[in-house]
Amino acid sequence: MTDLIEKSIKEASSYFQNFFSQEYFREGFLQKVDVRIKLIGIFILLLASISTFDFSKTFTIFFSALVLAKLSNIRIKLLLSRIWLFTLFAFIIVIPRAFMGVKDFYFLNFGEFVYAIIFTFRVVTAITLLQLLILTTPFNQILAAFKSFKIPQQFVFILGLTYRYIHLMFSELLRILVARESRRIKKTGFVEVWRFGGKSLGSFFIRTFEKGEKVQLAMNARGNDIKSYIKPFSFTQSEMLFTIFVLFALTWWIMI
Amino acid sequence: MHIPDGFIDLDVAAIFYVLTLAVLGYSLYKVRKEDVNLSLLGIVAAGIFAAQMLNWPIPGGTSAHLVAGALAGILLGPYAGSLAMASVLTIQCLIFADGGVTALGANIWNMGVVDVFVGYYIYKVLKGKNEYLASFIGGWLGITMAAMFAGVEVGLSSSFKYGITTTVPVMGLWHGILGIVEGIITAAVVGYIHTTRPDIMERAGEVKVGKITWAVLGLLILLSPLFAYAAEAVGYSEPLENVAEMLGAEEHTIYEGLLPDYTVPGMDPYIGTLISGIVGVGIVLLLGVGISRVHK
Repeated sequence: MTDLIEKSIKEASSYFQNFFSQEYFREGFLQKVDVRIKLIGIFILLLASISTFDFSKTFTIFFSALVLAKLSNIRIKLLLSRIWLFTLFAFIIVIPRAFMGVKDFYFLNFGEFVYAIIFTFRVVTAITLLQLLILTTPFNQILAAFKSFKIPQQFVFILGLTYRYIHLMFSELLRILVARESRRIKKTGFVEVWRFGGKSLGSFFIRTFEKGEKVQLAMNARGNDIKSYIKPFSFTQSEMLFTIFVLFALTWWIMI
Repeated sequence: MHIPDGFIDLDVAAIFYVLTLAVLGYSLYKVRKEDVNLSLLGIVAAGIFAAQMLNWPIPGGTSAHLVAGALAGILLGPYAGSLAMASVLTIQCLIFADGGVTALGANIWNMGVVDVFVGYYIYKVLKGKNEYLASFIGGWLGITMAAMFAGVEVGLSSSFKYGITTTVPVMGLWHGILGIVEGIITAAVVGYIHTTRPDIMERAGEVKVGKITWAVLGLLILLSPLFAYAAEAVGYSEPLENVAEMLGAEEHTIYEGLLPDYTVPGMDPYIGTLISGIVGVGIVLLLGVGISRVHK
């Protein structure tokens, strides 16, 4: 049970850092761009990055992402800390292919080795772009953009509520686990951990249901109809510069 | 099991976006029609997110995570459950970069549709026999099927050079083993709620499993020898054997087992494979019954 709590706390603390970095992001170029334009622009660049195996084309998009990061005051070290694990994961999965088939470069199949490198680079470029979006956009703005894109408001409402209650529900779950752990008097095996952990989780989900019902009642009492305000769209200098940047990167990507 | 960007081709991604949007659209329609409590959905989704953060220790010093798709289906019903899982997966993608934007449709399809619906309907079919066993098999098979779908998606993509004959068995086998933990936890949670607050579980009882479901399940079981025959007819062979052949590795048997290569020594290979299959299914069922007894 101690393992369950310790490992979970460690993982959660590193995971939730993303929330804090979102809440305290710096001012910069991408932060000023309207989230609707930013979502479309980054999605286009992302599509361009993964729709080719040409290294120079993918590098064009990766370089554009680095320029955007610099203009948006995002430290490269922070960006690297958020992409290295995905890079390693992708590389480990595809690198065995370099040792299969005809070996034309010492013990390597050089063609497959090049494939493994480019495949990983595509994944890195796509994740860098996604991180740019995450590091420069509060989630509430993304929800507002979803509403503008006519995504059903019920689903956007569920997304918003999930986001708002993640911290609270996780601390609730940990409180239950710690309370149970503090009453343990002997060492427990795997089956015991699963059994007690399962019961704790059952208890947690009952509380989750109760909280959900209370929140709904409270919202009904306030007359909430889940509709919310959407900021009017305006195409200012930031949006124009970002659009030109994306079009330039895309033209470069097509021409080389 | 979250597929990142770059692992699947754009046409495969588009197909699974369309399929996912169709299911989520219908789920939204059902949720609106039944006037489901949306706050409850959002907060249970947050609860699932929190539950996924737990690291469950497993023998060997490693740990496993809960996906909870089947659990969401059993607790909320398949339609509301798929929306809750879609919410969790969208936030994981757009805040934690866990899973790609282009692969979001495929990821929701695997963990928010396949896992939820398979888990829910297996639970519904078997709950009359044994609540624990039903939720264990629902949780286990739900996640295993979801993983196999992930294998299909990456295996069909030309940008990922391992073929479908490699990706599906690898994903299915690995998650078939890890899925046992998912099944045990699902059974423990469902069993606890069923005993403590059965009224919460009543909602799931509204969707009835008809004769068609039983008929489809029975037909699949009856047709299973045909799949084995078809695999033989198209010359299917184990991906690891293909790799060994490519690498020029030779087989050195350490222990043949009781049913070597899914056959019974001295018996016709097809009948031997059939008997091996029945023995395997029996072992899995006995394991499920045993685990459900432990939880009682």
